[in-house]
Amino acid sequence: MIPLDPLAALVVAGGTLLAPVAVGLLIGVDRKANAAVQLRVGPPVLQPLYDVTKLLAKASAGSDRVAAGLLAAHLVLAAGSFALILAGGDLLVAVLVLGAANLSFILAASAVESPFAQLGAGRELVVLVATEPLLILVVVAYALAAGSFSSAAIAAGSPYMVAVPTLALPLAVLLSATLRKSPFDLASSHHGHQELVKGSTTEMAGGWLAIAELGHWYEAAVILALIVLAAARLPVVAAALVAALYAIVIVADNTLPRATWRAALAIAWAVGGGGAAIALVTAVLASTKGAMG
Amino acid sequence: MSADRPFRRWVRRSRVRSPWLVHFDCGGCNGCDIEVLDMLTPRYSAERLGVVNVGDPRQADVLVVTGPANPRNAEVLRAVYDQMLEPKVVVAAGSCAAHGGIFRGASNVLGGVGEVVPVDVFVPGCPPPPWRILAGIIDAVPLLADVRPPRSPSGGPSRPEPLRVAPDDRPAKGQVDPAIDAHDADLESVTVP
Repeated sequence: MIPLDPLAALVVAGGTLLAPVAVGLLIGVDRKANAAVQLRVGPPVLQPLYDVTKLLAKASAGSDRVAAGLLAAHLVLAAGSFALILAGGDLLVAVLVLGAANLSFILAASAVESPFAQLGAGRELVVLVATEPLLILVVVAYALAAGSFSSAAIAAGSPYMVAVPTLALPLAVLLSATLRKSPFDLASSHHGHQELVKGSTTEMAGGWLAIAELGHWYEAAVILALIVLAAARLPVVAAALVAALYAIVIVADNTLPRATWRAALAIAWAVGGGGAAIALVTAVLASTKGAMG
Repeated sequence: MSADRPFRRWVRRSRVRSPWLVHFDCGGCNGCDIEVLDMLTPRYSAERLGVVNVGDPRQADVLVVTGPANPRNAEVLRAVYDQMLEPKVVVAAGSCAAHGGIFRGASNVLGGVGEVVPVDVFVPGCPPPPWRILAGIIDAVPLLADVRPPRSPSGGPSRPEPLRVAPDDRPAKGQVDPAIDAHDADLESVTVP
């Protein structure tokens, strides 16, 4: 258990409840920026919040009972993973809880009969295979640099961007995948412009689609928290880091719309895995040097 | 009661600002379908109104129908309509969807799609230009603010729709139709009490 005084618990609970609003606004800014890149006006910044509110306010949608339970588990696990990081808990546990959340979503997508949803679920697995190793490597690199897996200790030991600069590459890949941007939009696209139409979310409607979306927002919140941890003591640097990685993700999204799942896997492991491996070696070297000095 | 008013306003605003489309083609010549797809291209920037084209009727708020109703597609059209969750609206795009168009009176044609589903907005034209289809959708979205009681098939257009844009008054390339701009302003004021 993480020892928490009531005030800290309140902060963690409040932060966890507000996280989807913040991520929703960030995605709103992202859609605006993407529209600007494509010379369009783009939707209002509040658009993602409008969409989720509308879905929650829809007349009740029937859902497969198993899929509904798994979608609820997806939301709760993803929110729990974020709360764990916010509470200063073990990063490795948070990442594994996030993996469980991902798995719940994949099972929810494959629990229904639609072949589109099943194919989407299979592709979600491909994305998971591409990103899950990176997630673990990033956390291990942080732990090597900080000497602890606790997110509180990692935040206190920041910034790491000088010590392990190549960590930015796997973090960019993870951000791209969690936001379902090209080339990682193969399982379900926010726009019906890929051959699976809605892929893994095909059979989700109304409130259940909103719950799936909120779960994804929590997943994004976890990845954003991992990015912020790199410079948690310097909020301006952390914000700049998020903005820089987001810019890379938007450029990739607009240049790789035709990438296949093989390309996605290759990019994730070559770019992200390469960056993470270099970061790991640097972190080990830095920590042994520190121990000797 | 006063506490839930801002919440209700937010919900109604969200419903009006997030019209997701599903497009159903009843047949016809596919001219209207090309125009519907054209309307969704960046040139008309429909996403600024929150419009997203979805493939799943259960996720959609606006049903855009083209082509005439016939006994074979009536069942499918009805199924697509019934799968959509309230609140929902139907926009019939083009002459065929309004009254059967050039196919009206053919032995296999029932008439417009209003014979099968309740249509909220008829967009005139053969085919209607993209900006007019978008204007029709903008006309329909205020109806999304509240859940309405079940409606029966509306039949064809009851009165000739006045053309908002004269046919020669096409917007210059790269310009947004002034009528659509005016409707954007309407949309701003849609936040009902």
